[in-house]
Amino acid sequence: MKKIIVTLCSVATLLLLCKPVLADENIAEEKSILEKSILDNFILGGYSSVGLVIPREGSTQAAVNEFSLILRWESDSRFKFFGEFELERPLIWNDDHGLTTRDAYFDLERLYIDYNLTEKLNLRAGRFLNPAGRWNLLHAAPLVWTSTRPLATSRLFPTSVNGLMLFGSVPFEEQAFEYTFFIEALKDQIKDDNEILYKKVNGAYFAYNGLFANTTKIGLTLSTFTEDTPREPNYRMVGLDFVTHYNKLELSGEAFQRLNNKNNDGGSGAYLQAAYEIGNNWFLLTRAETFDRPDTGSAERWLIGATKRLKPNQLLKFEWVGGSGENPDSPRGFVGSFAILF
Amino acid sequence: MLRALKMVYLMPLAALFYAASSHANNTPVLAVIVSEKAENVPTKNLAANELNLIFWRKKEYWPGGVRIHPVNLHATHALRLQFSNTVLGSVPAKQIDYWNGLYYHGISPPYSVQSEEAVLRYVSDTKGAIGYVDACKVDARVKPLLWIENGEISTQKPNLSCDEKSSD
Repeated sequence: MKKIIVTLCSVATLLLLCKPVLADENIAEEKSILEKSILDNFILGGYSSVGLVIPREGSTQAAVNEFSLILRWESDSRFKFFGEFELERPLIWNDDHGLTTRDAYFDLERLYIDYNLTEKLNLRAGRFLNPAGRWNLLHAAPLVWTSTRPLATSRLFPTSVNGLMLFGSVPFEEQAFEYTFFIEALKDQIKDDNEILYKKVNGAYFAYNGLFANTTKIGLTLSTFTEDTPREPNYRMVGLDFVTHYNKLELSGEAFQRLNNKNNDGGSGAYLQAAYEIGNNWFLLTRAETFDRPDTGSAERWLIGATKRLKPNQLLKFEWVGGSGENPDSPRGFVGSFAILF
Repeated sequence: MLRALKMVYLMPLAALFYAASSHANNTPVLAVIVSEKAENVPTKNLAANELNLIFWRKKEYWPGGVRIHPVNLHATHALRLQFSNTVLGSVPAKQIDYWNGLYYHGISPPYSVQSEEAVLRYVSDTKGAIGYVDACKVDARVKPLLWIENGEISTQKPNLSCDEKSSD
Protein backbone atom coordinates (compact mmCIF):
# COMPACT_ATOMS: atom_id res chain seq x y z
CA MET A 1 0.00 0.00 0.00
CA LYS A 2 2.84 2.35 0.91
CA LYS A 3 4.36 1.73 -2.53
CA ILE A 4 1.12 2.77 -4.23
CA ILE A 5 0.80 5.95 -2.13
CA VAL A 6 4.39 6.92 -2.99
CA THR A 7 3.72 6.27 -6.68
CA LEU A 8 0.50 8.30 -6.66
CA CYS A 9 2.31 11.21 -4.95
CA SER A 10 5.00 11.05 -7.62
CA VAL A 11 2.34 11.06 -10.33
CA ALA A 12 0.64 14.11 -8.81
CA THR A 13 3.97 15.94 -8.70
CA LEU A 14 4.70 15.12 -12.33
CA LEU A 15 1.23 16.25 -13.36
CA LEU A 16 1.80 19.59 -11.67
CA LEU A 17 5.19 20.06 -13.32
CA CYS A 18 4.39 19.07 -16.87
CA LYS A 19 2.00 20.12 -19.57
CA PRO A 20 -0.03 17.12 -20.69
CA VAL A 21 -0.63 16.73 -24.42
CA LEU A 22 -3.08 14.44 -26.18
CA ALA A 23 -2.28 12.52 -29.32
CA ASP A 24 -4.96 14.32 -31.28
CA GLU A 25 -4.41 17.82 -32.56
CA ASN A 26 -5.36 20.08 -29.71
CA ILE A 27 -2.14 22.02 -29.87
CA ALA A 28 -3.67 25.07 -31.47
CA GLU A 29 -1.45 27.61 -29.82
CA GLU A 30 -0.12 29.66 -32.66
CA LYS A 31 3.13 30.64 -31.03
CA SER A 32 6.69 30.06 -31.95
CA ILE A 33 8.56 27.21 -30.34
CA LEU A 34 11.23 29.77 -29.57
CA GLU A 35 8.89 31.19 -26.93
CA LYS A 36 8.81 27.92 -24.98
CA SER A 37 10.17 27.72 -21.47
CA ILE A 38 12.26 24.83 -20.14
CA LEU A 39 9.19 23.26 -18.51
CA ASP A 40 7.33 23.36 -21.83
CA ASN A 41 9.92 20.92 -23.16
CA PHE A 42 8.66 18.25 -20.74
CA ILE A 43 5.56 16.49 -21.97
CA LEU A 44 3.55 14.09 -19.86
CA GLY A 45 1.05 11.54 -21.09
CA GLY A 46 0.12 7.94 -20.47
CA TYR A 47 -2.59 5.34 -20.61
CA SER A 48 -4.64 3.09 -18.39
CA SER A 49 -7.11 0.25 -18.70
CA VAL A 50 -9.63 -1.58 -16.55
CA GLY A 51 -10.82 -5.07 -17.36
CA LEU A 52 -13.12 -7.95 -16.49
CA VAL A 53 -12.24 -11.62 -17.07
CA ILE A 54 -14.84 -14.37 -16.73
CA PRO A 55 -12.83 -17.52 -17.50
CA ARG A 56 -14.30 -20.88 -18.42
CA GLU A 57 -12.33 -22.31 -15.51
CA GLY A 58 -11.34 -20.33 -12.41
CA SER A 59 -12.74 -17.30 -10.69
CA THR A 60 -14.07 -14.08 -12.17
CA GLN A 61 -11.69 -11.15 -11.86
CA ALA A 62 -11.96 -7.40 -12.33
CA ALA A 63 -8.86 -5.24 -12.28
CA VAL A 64 -7.22 -1.96 -13.00
CA ASN A 65 -4.77 -3.58 -15.41
CA GLU A 66 -2.19 -0.84 -15.48
CA PHE A 67 -1.59 2.84 -14.96
CA SER A 68 1.24 3.98 -17.18
CA LEU A 69 2.90 7.39 -17.33
CA ILE A 70 4.90 8.55 -20.33
CA LEU A 71 7.31 11.40 -19.73
CA ARG A 72 9.40 12.86 -22.50
CA TRP A 73 11.66 15.80 -23.03
CA GLU A 74 12.77 17.35 -26.26
CA SER A 75 14.19 20.67 -27.32
CA ASP A 76 15.80 21.99 -30.47
CA SER A 77 18.93 19.98 -29.70
CA ARG A 78 19.76 16.55 -31.14
CA PHE A 79 18.87 14.91 -27.81
CA LYS A 80 15.51 13.53 -26.72
CA PHE A 81 14.56 11.76 -23.51
CA PHE A 82 11.74 9.24 -23.11
CA GLY A 83 10.48 7.30 -20.11
CA GLU A 84 7.49 5.03 -19.47
CA PHE A 85 6.76 4.13 -15.86
CA GLU A 86 4.06 1.60 -15.25
CA LEU A 87 2.14 0.49 -12.19
CA GLU A 88 0.95 -3.01 -13.08
CA ARG A 89 -2.31 -4.38 -11.69
CA PRO A 90 -2.65 -1.77 -8.93
CA LEU A 91 -6.13 -2.95 -7.92
CA ILE A 92 -7.74 -6.37 -8.33
CA TRP A 93 -11.03 -7.85 -7.27
CA ASN A 94 -11.80 -11.55 -7.55
CA ASP A 95 -14.19 -14.12 -6.13
CA ASP A 96 -11.60 -15.64 -3.82
CA HIS A 97 -9.76 -12.69 -2.29
CA GLY A 98 -12.09 -9.74 -2.75
CA LEU A 99 -10.42 -6.36 -3.34
CA THR A 100 -6.64 -6.36 -3.10
CA THR A 101 -3.54 -4.40 -4.04
CA ARG A 102 -1.07 -7.16 -3.21
CA ASP A 103 -0.35 -8.03 -6.86
CA ALA A 104 0.67 -4.46 -7.71
CA TYR A 105 4.21 -3.85 -8.86
CA PHE A 106 6.16 -1.08 -10.52
CA ASP A 107 7.64 -1.71 -13.93
CA LEU A 108 10.12 0.40 -15.83
CA GLU A 109 8.80 -0.20 -19.34
CA ARG A 110 11.11 2.15 -21.25
CA LEU A 111 13.80 4.66 -20.36
CA TYR A 112 16.12 5.95 -23.05
CA ILE A 113 17.88 8.86 -24.67
CA ASP A 114 17.84 9.41 -28.42
CA TYR A 115 20.60 11.24 -30.26
CA ASN A 116 20.34 12.28 -33.90
CA LEU A 117 23.58 11.25 -35.61
CA THR A 118 22.69 12.20 -39.18
CA GLU A 119 19.60 13.06 -41.17
CA LYS A 120 18.86 9.35 -41.61
CA LEU A 121 20.41 7.76 -38.55
CA ASN A 122 19.61 8.00 -34.83
CA LEU A 123 21.14 6.37 -31.78
CA ARG A 124 19.08 5.17 -28.82
CA ALA A 125 20.61 4.15 -25.49
CA GLY A 126 18.69 2.71 -22.56
CA ARG A 127 15.76 0.38 -22.10
CA PHE A 128 13.47 0.08 -25.11
CA LEU A 129 10.84 -2.22 -26.59
CA ASN A 130 12.19 -5.03 -28.72
CA PRO A 131 11.21 -4.18 -32.31
CA ALA A 132 10.01 -7.72 -32.99
CA GLY A 133 6.90 -7.45 -35.10
CA ARG A 134 4.11 -4.90 -34.75
CA TRP A 135 2.23 -5.91 -31.60
CA ASN A 136 5.15 -5.68 -29.21
CA LEU A 137 5.86 -2.12 -30.34
CA LEU A 138 2.21 -1.08 -30.00
CA HIS A 139 1.09 -3.30 -27.14
CA ALA A 140 -0.52 -0.57 -25.02
CA ALA A 141 -4.20 -1.29 -24.36
CA PRO A 142 -5.58 1.82 -26.18
CA LEU A 143 -3.61 0.93 -29.32
CA VAL A 144 -4.76 -2.65 -29.91
CA TRP A 145 -8.21 -3.93 -30.84
CA THR A 146 -8.39 -6.73 -28.28
CA SER A 147 -7.95 -7.06 -24.51
CA THR A 148 -5.95 -10.25 -24.91
CA ARG A 149 -2.58 -10.45 -26.59
CA PRO A 150 -1.47 -13.19 -29.00
CA LEU A 151 0.91 -15.53 -27.16
CA ALA A 152 3.33 -15.47 -30.09
CA THR A 153 3.98 -11.77 -29.49
CA SER A 154 5.07 -12.10 -25.87
CA ARG A 155 6.31 -15.64 -25.07
CA LEU A 156 8.86 -16.29 -27.81
CA PHE A 157 11.30 -13.39 -27.46
CA PRO A 158 12.33 -10.68 -24.99
CA THR A 159 9.77 -7.87 -25.06
CA SER A 160 12.28 -5.25 -23.86
CA VAL A 161 16.01 -4.79 -24.31
CA ASN A 162 18.56 -2.79 -22.32
CA GLY A 163 21.16 -1.65 -24.80
CA LEU A 164 21.90 0.36 -27.90
CA MET A 165 19.81 0.85 -31.02
CA LEU A 166 20.49 2.45 -34.39
CA PHE A 167 17.39 3.41 -36.34
CA GLY A 168 16.12 5.62 -39.13
CA SER A 169 13.92 6.02 -42.19
CA VAL A 170 14.75 6.65 -45.82
CA PRO A 171 12.39 7.46 -48.67
CA PHE A 172 11.83 4.58 -51.06
CA GLU A 173 9.50 5.02 -54.02
CA GLU A 174 7.63 7.87 -52.29
CA GLN A 175 7.13 5.84 -49.10
CA ALA A 176 9.32 5.00 -46.11
CA PHE A 177 11.74 2.18 -45.60
CA GLU A 178 12.46 1.89 -41.87
CA TYR A 179 15.40 0.06 -40.33
CA THR A 180 16.45 -0.78 -36.79
CA PHE A 181 19.52 -2.57 -35.42
CA PHE A 182 19.98 -3.24 -31.73
CA ILE A 183 22.28 -4.97 -29.28
CA GLU A 184 21.83 -5.74 -25.59
CA ALA A 185 24.30 -4.17 -23.17
CA LEU A 186 22.76 -5.16 -19.84
CA LYS A 187 20.50 -8.13 -19.24
CA ASP A 188 17.19 -7.76 -17.39
CA GLN A 189 17.78 -7.43 -13.66
CA ILE A 190 14.27 -7.96 -12.33
CA LYS A 191 11.97 -10.88 -13.07
CA ASP A 192 8.26 -10.05 -12.96
CA ASP A 193 5.73 -12.82 -12.31
CA ASN A 194 6.19 -15.59 -14.87
CA GLU A 195 8.36 -13.50 -17.16
CA ILE A 196 11.03 -15.34 -19.15
CA LEU A 197 14.43 -13.67 -18.86
CA TYR A 198 16.84 -13.46 -21.79
CA LYS A 199 20.41 -12.39 -22.39
CA LYS A 200 22.80 -11.81 -25.33
CA VAL A 201 19.97 -10.25 -27.32
CA ASN A 202 20.76 -8.82 -30.78
CA GLY A 203 18.56 -8.13 -33.71
CA ALA A 204 17.24 -6.05 -36.54
CA TYR A 205 13.87 -4.99 -37.87
CA PHE A 206 12.99 -3.71 -41.35
CA ALA A 207 9.64 -2.31 -42.46
CA TYR A 208 8.20 -0.90 -45.68
CA ASN A 209 4.79 0.70 -46.02
CA GLY A 210 4.42 1.23 -49.74
CA LEU A 211 2.90 -2.03 -50.98
CA PHE A 212 -0.40 -2.31 -52.90
CA ALA A 213 -0.96 1.42 -53.44
CA ASN A 214 0.39 2.23 -49.98
CA THR A 215 -2.33 0.24 -48.20
CA THR A 216 -0.01 -2.41 -46.79
CA LYS A 217 2.92 -2.37 -44.41
CA ILE A 218 5.22 -5.36 -44.05
CA GLY A 219 8.00 -6.07 -41.58
CA LEU A 220 10.88 -8.50 -41.16
CA THR A 221 12.36 -9.40 -37.76
CA LEU A 222 15.76 -11.06 -37.30
CA SER A 223 17.08 -11.80 -33.83
CA THR A 224 19.37 -13.98 -31.74
CA PHE A 225 19.13 -14.47 -27.97
CA THR A 226 19.71 -16.86 -25.08
CA GLU A 227 17.06 -17.83 -22.57
CA ASP A 228 18.34 -17.20 -19.06
CA THR A 229 17.37 -20.65 -17.78
CA PRO A 230 19.61 -23.44 -16.37
CA ARG A 231 20.22 -25.00 -19.82
CA GLU A 232 20.75 -21.57 -21.41
CA PRO A 233 19.39 -22.46 -24.86
CA ASN A 234 20.44 -20.17 -27.71
CA TYR A 235 17.93 -19.24 -30.38
CA ARG A 236 17.85 -17.57 -33.75
CA MET A 237 14.48 -16.14 -34.70
CA VAL A 238 12.90 -14.86 -37.89
CA GLY A 239 9.56 -13.09 -37.98
CA LEU A 240 7.25 -11.62 -40.59
CA ASP A 241 4.42 -9.20 -40.00
CA PHE A 242 1.94 -7.20 -42.04
CA VAL A 243 -1.06 -4.92 -41.77
CA THR A 244 -3.27 -3.98 -44.68
CA HIS A 245 -6.37 -1.86 -45.11
CA TYR A 246 -9.10 -2.37 -47.67
CA ASN A 247 -12.16 -0.15 -47.34
CA LYS A 248 -13.46 -0.84 -43.81
CA LEU A 249 -11.37 -3.97 -43.27
CA GLU A 250 -8.04 -4.10 -41.45
CA LEU A 251 -6.19 -7.38 -41.74
CA SER A 252 -3.02 -7.98 -39.75
CA GLY A 253 -0.79 -10.86 -38.78
CA GLU A 254 2.58 -11.93 -37.46
CA ALA A 255 4.54 -15.18 -37.60
CA PHE A 256 7.71 -16.13 -35.71
CA GLN A 257 9.95 -19.18 -36.00
CA ARG A 258 12.82 -19.95 -33.61
CA LEU A 259 15.68 -22.33 -34.33
CA ASN A 260 17.96 -23.76 -31.66
CA ASN A 261 21.73 -24.47 -31.84
CA LYS A 262 21.17 -27.60 -33.89
CA ASN A 263 18.87 -25.85 -36.35
CA ASN A 264 15.89 -27.71 -34.90
CA ASP A 265 12.53 -26.17 -34.13
CA GLY A 266 12.86 -24.03 -31.01
CA GLY A 267 9.30 -22.77 -30.87
CA SER A 268 6.97 -20.88 -33.17
CA GLY A 269 3.79 -18.90 -33.22
CA ALA A 270 1.54 -16.88 -35.46
CA TYR A 271 -1.75 -15.00 -35.53
CA LEU A 272 -4.09 -13.58 -38.15
CA GLN A 273 -6.56 -10.89 -37.11
CA ALA A 274 -9.35 -9.05 -38.90
CA ALA A 275 -11.13 -5.88 -37.76
CA TYR A 276 -14.14 -4.71 -39.76
CA GLU A 277 -15.90 -1.41 -39.16
CA ILE A 278 -19.65 -1.99 -39.08
CA GLY A 279 -20.60 1.63 -38.41
CA ASN A 280 -21.02 4.05 -35.53
CA ASN A 281 -17.39 3.38 -34.57
CA TRP A 282 -18.07 -0.30 -33.81
CA PHE A 283 -15.59 -2.88 -35.11
CA LEU A 284 -16.15 -6.62 -35.42
CA LEU A 285 -13.05 -8.64 -34.56
CA THR A 286 -11.86 -12.13 -35.19
CA ARG A 287 -8.47 -13.71 -34.61
CA ALA A 288 -6.88 -17.12 -34.94
CA GLU A 289 -3.54 -17.93 -33.38
CA THR A 290 -1.16 -20.78 -32.82
CA PHE A 291 1.71 -21.06 -30.38
CA ASP A 292 4.33 -23.65 -29.57
CA ARG A 293 7.21 -23.62 -27.08
CA PRO A 294 9.47 -26.59 -26.33
CA ASP A 295 8.87 -26.35 -22.57
CA THR A 296 5.16 -25.56 -22.43
CA GLY A 297 3.82 -27.31 -25.50
CA SER A 298 1.41 -25.97 -28.05
CA ALA A 299 -1.82 -24.03 -27.81
CA GLU A 300 -4.36 -22.71 -30.26
CA ARG A 301 -6.64 -19.78 -29.67
CA TRP A 302 -9.53 -18.22 -31.56
CA LEU A 303 -11.32 -15.05 -30.69
CA ILE A 304 -14.44 -13.21 -31.73
CA GLY A 305 -15.36 -9.84 -30.37
CA ALA A 306 -16.48 -6.30 -30.84
CA THR A 307 -14.74 -3.03 -30.01
CA LYS A 308 -16.17 0.46 -29.94
CA ARG A 309 -14.00 3.51 -30.39
CA LEU A 310 -15.71 5.84 -27.94
CA LYS A 311 -13.32 8.69 -28.74
CA PRO A 312 -10.07 8.79 -30.73
CA ASN A 313 -8.20 7.92 -27.51
CA GLN A 314 -10.69 5.50 -25.91
CA LEU A 315 -11.59 1.89 -26.71
CA LEU A 316 -14.28 -0.33 -25.18
CA LYS A 317 -13.62 -4.02 -25.92
CA PHE A 318 -15.62 -7.24 -25.58
CA GLU A 319 -14.33 -10.62 -26.70
CA TRP A 320 -14.85 -14.33 -26.33
CA VAL A 321 -11.74 -16.51 -26.40
CA GLY A 322 -11.67 -20.22 -27.12
CA GLY A 323 -9.12 -22.83 -28.09
CA SER A 324 -7.11 -25.72 -26.75
CA GLY A 325 -5.42 -26.10 -23.38
CA GLU A 326 -5.11 -23.68 -20.47
CA ASN A 327 -2.54 -20.93 -20.43
CA PRO A 328 -2.43 -18.29 -17.68
CA ASP A 329 -1.39 -15.65 -20.20
CA SER A 330 -4.37 -16.34 -22.42
CA PRO A 331 -7.44 -17.41 -20.44
CA ARG A 332 -10.38 -18.85 -22.34
CA GLY A 333 -13.76 -17.24 -21.73
CA PHE A 334 -15.14 -13.71 -21.77
CA VAL A 335 -12.83 -10.71 -21.53
CA GLY A 336 -13.92 -7.08 -21.53
CA SER A 337 -11.99 -3.87 -20.97
CA PHE A 338 -11.93 -0.12 -21.29
CA ALA A 339 -8.68 1.63 -22.29
CA ILE A 340 -7.77 5.29 -22.46
CA LEU A 341 -4.73 7.14 -23.82
CA PHE A 342 -4.07 10.54 -22.28
CA MET B 1 -32.47 16.29 -87.36
CA LEU B 2 -29.25 14.28 -87.16
CA ARG B 3 -27.37 17.42 -86.11
CA ALA B 4 -29.93 18.10 -83.38
CA LEU B 5 -29.59 14.56 -82.06
CA LYS B 6 -25.80 14.92 -82.01
CA MET B 7 -26.19 18.13 -80.03
CA VAL B 8 -28.44 16.36 -77.51
CA TYR B 9 -25.75 13.70 -76.95
CA LEU B 10 -22.79 16.05 -77.01
CA MET B 11 -24.13 18.74 -74.70
CA PRO B 12 -24.09 16.59 -71.52
CA LEU B 13 -20.57 15.43 -72.38
CA ALA B 14 -19.47 19.01 -72.86
CA ALA B 15 -21.12 19.96 -69.57
CA LEU B 16 -19.32 17.10 -67.81
CA PHE B 17 -16.01 18.14 -69.33
CA TYR B 18 -16.60 21.75 -68.30
CA ALA B 19 -17.54 20.70 -64.77
CA ALA B 20 -14.45 18.51 -64.48
CA SER B 21 -12.11 21.20 -65.75
CA SER B 22 -13.76 23.82 -63.51
CA HIS B 23 -13.29 21.53 -60.54
CA ALA B 24 -9.62 21.06 -61.37
CA ASN B 25 -9.17 24.78 -61.74
CA ASN B 26 -10.84 25.39 -58.37
CA THR B 27 -8.26 23.25 -56.58
CA PRO B 28 -5.62 25.73 -55.45
CA VAL B 29 -1.94 25.21 -56.02
CA LEU B 30 -0.22 24.67 -52.68
CA ALA B 31 3.24 25.94 -51.88
CA VAL B 32 5.36 24.04 -49.36
CA ILE B 33 7.22 26.77 -47.49
CA VAL B 34 10.13 27.36 -45.12
CA SER B 35 11.28 30.60 -43.53
CA GLU B 36 12.96 33.27 -45.66
CA LYS B 37 15.16 34.22 -42.70
CA ALA B 38 18.63 32.81 -43.28
CA GLU B 39 19.07 31.78 -39.62
CA ASN B 40 15.83 29.75 -39.72
CA VAL B 41 16.41 28.08 -43.06
CA PRO B 42 17.90 24.61 -42.63
CA THR B 43 17.84 23.66 -46.31
CA LYS B 44 17.68 25.18 -49.77
CA ASN B 45 15.87 22.32 -51.43
CA LEU B 46 13.75 19.30 -50.57
CA ALA B 47 13.10 16.11 -52.51
CA ALA B 48 9.42 15.51 -53.14
CA ASN B 49 9.59 12.00 -51.68
CA GLU B 50 10.86 13.33 -48.35
CA LEU B 51 7.78 15.47 -47.76
CA ASN B 52 5.61 12.61 -46.54
CA LEU B 53 8.37 11.38 -44.23
CA ILE B 54 8.41 14.83 -42.63
CA PHE B 55 4.64 15.08 -42.20
CA TRP B 56 4.39 11.47 -40.97
CA ARG B 57 7.14 12.50 -38.47
CA LYS B 58 9.41 9.70 -39.65
CA LYS B 59 12.09 12.26 -40.50
CA GLU B 60 12.63 14.64 -37.60
CA TYR B 61 15.88 16.43 -38.43
CA TRP B 62 17.15 18.56 -41.27
CA PRO B 63 20.73 18.01 -42.45
CA GLY B 64 22.99 19.43 -39.76
CA GLY B 65 20.78 18.34 -36.90
CA VAL B 66 18.19 21.13 -36.87
CA ARG B 67 14.85 19.76 -35.70
CA ILE B 68 12.05 19.82 -38.24
CA HIS B 69 8.86 21.50 -37.04
CA PRO B 70 6.09 20.68 -39.53
CA VAL B 71 2.88 22.67 -39.17
CA ASN B 72 -0.58 21.70 -40.40
CA LEU B 73 -3.77 23.61 -40.97
CA HIS B 74 -6.64 22.33 -38.81
CA ALA B 75 -8.06 18.90 -39.63
CA THR B 76 -11.09 20.06 -41.66
CA HIS B 77 -9.45 22.92 -43.58
CA ALA B 78 -9.84 22.40 -47.34
CA LEU B 79 -6.11 22.89 -47.95
CA ARG B 80 -5.25 20.41 -45.19
CA LEU B 81 -7.48 17.80 -46.84
CA GLN B 82 -5.87 18.48 -50.22
CA PHE B 83 -2.36 18.30 -48.77
CA SER B 84 -3.09 15.22 -46.70
CA ASN B 85 -4.64 13.31 -49.60
CA THR B 86 -1.77 14.15 -51.94
CA VAL B 87 1.20 13.80 -49.63
CA LEU B 88 0.04 11.27 -47.02
CA GLY B 89 -2.53 9.36 -49.08
CA SER B 90 -5.37 9.68 -46.56
CA VAL B 91 -7.50 12.25 -44.75
CA PRO B 92 -6.78 13.18 -41.10
CA ALA B 93 -9.81 11.25 -39.80
CA LYS B 94 -8.24 8.01 -41.08
CA GLN B 95 -4.92 8.66 -39.34
CA ILE B 96 -6.04 8.26 -35.71
CA ASP B 97 -4.42 4.86 -35.15
CA TYR B 98 -1.16 6.02 -36.68
CA TRP B 99 -0.87 9.13 -34.51
CA ASN B 100 -1.91 7.29 -31.36
CA GLY B 101 0.85 4.77 -32.07
CA LEU B 102 3.45 7.45 -32.67
CA TYR B 103 2.34 9.36 -29.58
CA TYR B 104 2.96 6.17 -27.58
CA HIS B 105 6.53 6.34 -28.86
CA GLY B 106 6.94 9.95 -27.81
CA ILE B 107 6.26 11.69 -31.11
CA SER B 108 3.37 14.13 -31.44
CA PRO B 109 1.56 15.01 -34.67
CA PRO B 110 2.62 18.22 -36.43
CA TYR B 111 1.46 21.43 -34.85
CA SER B 112 -1.96 22.45 -36.06
CA VAL B 113 -3.06 26.05 -36.59
CA GLN B 114 -6.28 27.69 -37.69
CA SER B 115 -5.37 29.85 -40.66
CA GLU B 116 -2.91 30.31 -43.48
CA GLU B 117 -1.71 33.53 -41.88
CA ALA B 118 -0.87 31.50 -38.77
CA VAL B 119 1.10 29.06 -40.93
CA LEU B 120 3.02 31.94 -42.48
CA ARG B 121 3.85 33.43 -39.08
CA TYR B 122 4.80 30.08 -37.55
CA VAL B 123 7.05 29.11 -40.47
CA SER B 124 8.62 32.55 -40.64
CA ASP B 125 9.46 32.74 -36.93
CA THR B 126 10.30 29.12 -36.05
CA LYS B 127 13.68 27.63 -36.76
CA GLY B 128 13.35 24.46 -38.82
CA ALA B 129 9.62 24.93 -39.53
CA ILE B 130 7.92 23.77 -42.71
CA GLY B 131 4.29 24.25 -43.75
CA TYR B 132 2.02 24.81 -46.72
CA VAL B 133 -0.34 27.52 -47.91
CA ASP B 134 -2.19 28.47 -51.06
CA ALA B 135 0.63 29.39 -53.46
CA CYS B 136 -1.03 32.77 -54.02
CA LYS B 137 -0.60 33.59 -50.31
CA VAL B 138 3.18 33.22 -50.35
CA ASP B 139 4.83 36.48 -49.33
CA ALA B 140 8.28 37.80 -48.48
CA ARG B 141 8.37 36.12 -45.05
CA VAL B 142 8.64 32.61 -46.51
CA LYS B 143 10.31 30.71 -49.30
CA PRO B 144 8.58 27.97 -51.32
CA LEU B 145 10.47 24.69 -51.83
CA LEU B 146 7.81 22.56 -53.51
CA TRP B 147 4.45 23.01 -55.20
CA ILE B 148 1.45 20.71 -55.12
CA GLU B 149 -0.91 20.89 -58.08
CA ASN B 150 -3.59 18.42 -59.18
CA GLY B 151 -2.26 15.71 -56.91
CA GLU B 152 1.36 16.06 -58.05
CA ILE B 153 4.34 17.32 -56.05
CA SER B 154 6.84 19.34 -58.06
CA THR B 155 10.03 21.28 -57.53
CA GLN B 156 9.10 23.52 -60.49
CA LYS B 157 6.98 26.58 -59.84
CA PRO B 158 3.77 26.30 -61.90
CA ASN B 159 2.06 29.20 -63.65
CA LEU B 160 -0.15 30.85 -61.08
CA SER B 161 -3.19 32.98 -61.75
CA CYS B 162 -3.78 34.66 -58.44
CA ASP B 163 -6.76 36.88 -57.70
CA GLU B 164 -8.17 38.36 -54.49
CA LYS B 165 -9.84 35.14 -53.30
CA SER B 166 -9.27 33.90 -49.75
CA SER B 167 -9.50 30.31 -48.59
CA ASP B 168 -9.17 30.95 -44.84
